[in-house]
Amino acid sequence: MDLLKESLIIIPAYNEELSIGETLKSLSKVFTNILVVDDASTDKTVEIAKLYTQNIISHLYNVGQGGAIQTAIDFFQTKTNYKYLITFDADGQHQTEDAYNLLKECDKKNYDLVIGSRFLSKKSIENIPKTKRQILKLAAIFESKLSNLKMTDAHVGLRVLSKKMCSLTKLQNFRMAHSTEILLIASRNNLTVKEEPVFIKYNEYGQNILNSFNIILDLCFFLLSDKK
Amino acid sequence: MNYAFILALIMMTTYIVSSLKIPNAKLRPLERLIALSSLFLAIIFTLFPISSSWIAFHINIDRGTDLVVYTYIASSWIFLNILYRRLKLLEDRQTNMMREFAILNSQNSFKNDSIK
Repeated sequence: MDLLKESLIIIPAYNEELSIGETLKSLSKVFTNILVVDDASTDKTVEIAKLYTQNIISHLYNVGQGGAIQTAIDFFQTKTNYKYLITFDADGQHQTEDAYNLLKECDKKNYDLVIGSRFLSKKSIENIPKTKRQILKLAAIFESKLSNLKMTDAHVGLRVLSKKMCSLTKLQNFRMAHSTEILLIASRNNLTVKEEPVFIKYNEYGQNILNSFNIILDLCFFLLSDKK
Repeated sequence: MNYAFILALIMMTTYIVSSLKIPNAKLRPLERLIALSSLFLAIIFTLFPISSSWIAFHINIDRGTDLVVYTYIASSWIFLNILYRRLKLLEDRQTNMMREFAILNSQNSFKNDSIK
C-alpha cells in the first residue's frame, strides 16, 4: 500500500535486547520502512535489530529518548519520499495494529499529529495499574492546561507526525519530557492534533512511577529555558 | 533580609537557566563583572575585616560575618548556575554534531523495503 511506503516507523532503543526482537518481528509484518535509532546501547540491541532491519542509526553516546526521536526526525527530513513519521517504543508495550490505525486516521483526515491514548477505550483503561492511572490523569490535565489542547492521556510513545509537524519539530528536551514538548510545538503552530485509542501492554521493562518525578523536573527546566 | 536573600537567589537561578538561548558573548561581561566583584569583596573583607560589619550595618544585616557568608553563598550559587548553563550549551552542541555524524554514517546503509 502507498500509505505504508510513504511512512517511516522509528523505534528509539536503549538496551532493549529483551524486547526489540519481538517488536521488530511484529512491525515487519505490516510496515515496510522501519528505522531503529540505537541510543548507544551496551547490550545486544543492535545485533538483534540487525536481524530484522538494516536501517539503524547508532548514537555514539546516550542522549535519551527525546534525543533519539530528534535524530530520526532529522533523518526523516533528509528523505523526500516519506509523508509520515511514526514513533513506536521498543519495549513491546505498543501494538502494531494501533500504529497502523493511527497512521490511517492521520492520512484520512490530514491531521498533523495523531497521538495514542489509553483512556479512550474501556479495555485499555482497565489494563492500566491504579496508581499509574491517577498519575497519568493528573499529567494529562497539566499537559492540557499547558498546551491548550484537550488531552485525555500523557506520555504515550505511539504517535504519527506529518511532514509539516516534523519540519517544525526541534526538540530541546532529549529526555522523557519531549512528549510534552511535541504537544507544545503542535499547539503553538496551530497544527491539527487528534487522539486515538491504543492498548498498552504493561511489562517489567516499561517506565516506573518514580520516573514521573524525573519527567516533572526535566519539564520544569525545559519550561524555564523555553523562550517561546 | 533572609527572605529577600532567598528570593534573590531564586531569581538569579531563574535568569541564568532561562538564558540558555542567549549567546555566550552577551552574558560574558556580566559573568566577568560578578567574578571581579567577588574577588574585590574577598580582598576587602580579608584586608579590612571591620569593613564587612560596617557594610552589614548599613544594609540592615546583623553582623559582618553574616554578610560574608551571604556573599559566599550567592557567588557560589551564581557560578554553579553559570557552569550548568555552559555545560548544557556544550552538551546540546555536541549532541547536534554527534547526530549529524550518526545520520551521515547511516545514509549508505539505509534502504527502503529492506526488512528481511
